[in-house]
Amino acid sequence: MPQTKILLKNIGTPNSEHIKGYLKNGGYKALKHALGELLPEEIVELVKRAGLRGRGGAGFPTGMKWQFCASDPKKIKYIICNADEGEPGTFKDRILLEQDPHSLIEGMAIAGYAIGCTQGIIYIRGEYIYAARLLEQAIEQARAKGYLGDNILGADFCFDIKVFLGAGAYICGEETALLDSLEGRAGRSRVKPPFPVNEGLWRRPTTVNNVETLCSIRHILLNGDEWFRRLGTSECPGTKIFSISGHVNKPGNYELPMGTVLRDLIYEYAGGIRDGNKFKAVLPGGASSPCLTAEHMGVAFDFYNLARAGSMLGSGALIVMDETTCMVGAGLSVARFFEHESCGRCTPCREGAGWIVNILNRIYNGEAKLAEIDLIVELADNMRASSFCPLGMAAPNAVVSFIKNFRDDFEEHIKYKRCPARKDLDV
Amino acid sequence: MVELTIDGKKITLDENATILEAAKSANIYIPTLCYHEKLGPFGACRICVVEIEPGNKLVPACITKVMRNMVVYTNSEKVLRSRKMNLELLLARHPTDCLTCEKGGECELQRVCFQVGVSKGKGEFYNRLVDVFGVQPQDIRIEDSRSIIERNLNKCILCKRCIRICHEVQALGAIQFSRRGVKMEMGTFWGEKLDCEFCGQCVDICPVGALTNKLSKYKARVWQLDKVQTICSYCSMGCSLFLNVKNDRLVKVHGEVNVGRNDGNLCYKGRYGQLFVSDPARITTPLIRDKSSGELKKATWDEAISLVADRLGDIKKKYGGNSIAGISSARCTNEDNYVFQKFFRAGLGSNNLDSSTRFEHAPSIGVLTKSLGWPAMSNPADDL
Repeated sequence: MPQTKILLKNIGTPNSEHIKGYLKNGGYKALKHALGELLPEEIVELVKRAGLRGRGGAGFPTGMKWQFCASDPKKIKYIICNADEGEPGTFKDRILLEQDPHSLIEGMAIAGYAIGCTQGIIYIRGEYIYAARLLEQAIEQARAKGYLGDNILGADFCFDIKVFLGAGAYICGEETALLDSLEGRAGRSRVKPPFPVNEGLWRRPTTVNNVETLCSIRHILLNGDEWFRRLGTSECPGTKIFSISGHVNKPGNYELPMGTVLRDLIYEYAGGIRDGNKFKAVLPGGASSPCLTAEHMGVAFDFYNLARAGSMLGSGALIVMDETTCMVGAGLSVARFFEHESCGRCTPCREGAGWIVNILNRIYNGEAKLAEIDLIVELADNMRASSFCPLGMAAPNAVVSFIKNFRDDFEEHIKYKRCPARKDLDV
Repeated sequence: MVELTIDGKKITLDENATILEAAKSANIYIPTLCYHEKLGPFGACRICVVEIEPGNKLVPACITKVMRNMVVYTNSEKVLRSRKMNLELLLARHPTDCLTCEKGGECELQRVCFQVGVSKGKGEFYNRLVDVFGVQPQDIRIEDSRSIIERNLNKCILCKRCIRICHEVQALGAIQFSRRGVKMEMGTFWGEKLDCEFCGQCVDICPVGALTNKLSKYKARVWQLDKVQTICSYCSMGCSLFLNVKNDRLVKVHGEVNVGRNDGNLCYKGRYGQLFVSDPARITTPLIRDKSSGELKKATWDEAISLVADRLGDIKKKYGGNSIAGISSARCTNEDNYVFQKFFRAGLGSNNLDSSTRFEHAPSIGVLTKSLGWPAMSNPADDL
């Protein structure tokens, strides 16, 4: 089966990153349509009817977010594109930013018009310096053609975009930490409420949307909400770009309708497991999601079905692990990531993430006692229950799911000082 | 107004209140560490977590606003489990050398541990950690520079109160968190030595012994100190301060929230500049210069005052009141200054009066008069 390429349609066409190539592919038609024929409220309504959910991970309905922001009486507002793509295993925004930057610019301009703001900011992670330069060039091109700037396309609407480079902290992908970082402080989550839609950047109403979300906007405007609803599942319409990585034959970005089942994602599109090995586990939504195992092959990938299966879609980053994976080692590498990226603000996350790494290290090296496995689960429960922001709540997910599903791996490390999956591993 | 239930008690109060404030109004105790009434919402230590319905979620009481028909449990099993674990996690890295710690007795970590029932020997979870690792408390350097503030980051529980008061109340920002996660520590730009005006606000607000006053080190335990409220005599602000006295000797000075115009805030002079009162070199009696030897000799107040009265009387008789001038000080009280000028004008017949304040304040009077037409503050101090 071919992919359902909507967002990725232009990727790979000549000059797709240049405005010339973009215009040839029908670019900026949606912006023309919006400014010429639609009222801001009508766009918000349209996006609401389409049922578009944020593609950054939380899956909040985009139309609702826009409405909250648009209905705030304060005058100056901001639209921010969250391009701080930091979730391990995710590389979907990068391809859009590098090869189709104009669809993001167009989406932001439409969002700006719908919300009633004149300034857009793209917060892009520091490592994406190449994409950031391309974006700046693309913005320059759009300005020259009059798609950004004052009185866009002759309408009474001014809009411009700035690119802001992050400094490499994972936490800055969380929207309030992103705002703090934009304001020049260290990225640490803010107290909610107030929510960013009411008090965001510089305490002004701010909408923060993911790259993929904003890139979807032009397609909804051009094709209508019914067309969008026909794609994907009834609860989560549209397509989703799945970044598939790990032990598969063809890792990469695959755009498919929401609700595509795990079996198809791995065997149909990603070419199956490498070397003819058996499938062991998959992290369906990046490093912060609980893993799925072979029994979940029929799970449909959308926000709701994955939640029902005990995991989450997150940003749609599948990290596939085959039978040769040591789950203690995998857990350790995830735990190390979160220990490093915990901002340090709240006790459960800061201390918990550190202890989990300590304990996993001991298990990995066969120095631990059996009871320590449950100590990790306890620490994790506390992190989930009482952490300040989503980072701490999600950080232990993967490790705990590994323990739940592959407890034998952990026990064997401790009891027999060997790894059941990797015979070569010298514990 | 909203009505909610905390631990079975029905409470009605303003909708902008937090759960912590609601609990306080009903005399229900919720332990806190990073919360301070003077500072903005932060909610990081997670000691004040409470369970709320609907949802049976754990939320921090200090930053969660009350809602209509909310049901709050401050002591459910879930709450105690999480609270204990968070406390034990903090304690795991904290050196419990309370025996020699400056803060012992007024340490908030000590207090909360006592109330929640957690200690290094008692903590169920902590014991297991010790069992597993033989946990050693963190061992970061202790800054012992020439400053009067001692920074012992081993004891820091990362509540950010020092940083918040420096930013929010002092509006300075001399300190900030550096690094992330378990490596996070309170520090200065590039880890330089503390180089601020040393107001000591961070020392006063530190809940543990991470920031302490070097001048009072090892001089007294908290419970040995008598606290005497008085007014600072350094400037005309009239800040309330508390003298901590042991055996009639001043050990240190602190301010208390909700007391006085200053609301517990003190500057470096008020906080650290009072120790002169117990200094042996301080002049405590009037001195009269001996005519023959030219040396200053101790005298009684009666002797001194009668000498001044005689001499002033002579001068006035001989040259007239106008030949006498008086200089007063902003460090005297309003009443003293009033009496002083009255005595000069009515008693001696002299209008030659000045104040030591002219030296520093005259330029600002000039500028204020020129720009605002009013030579003094145009707003109450509370508005600042």
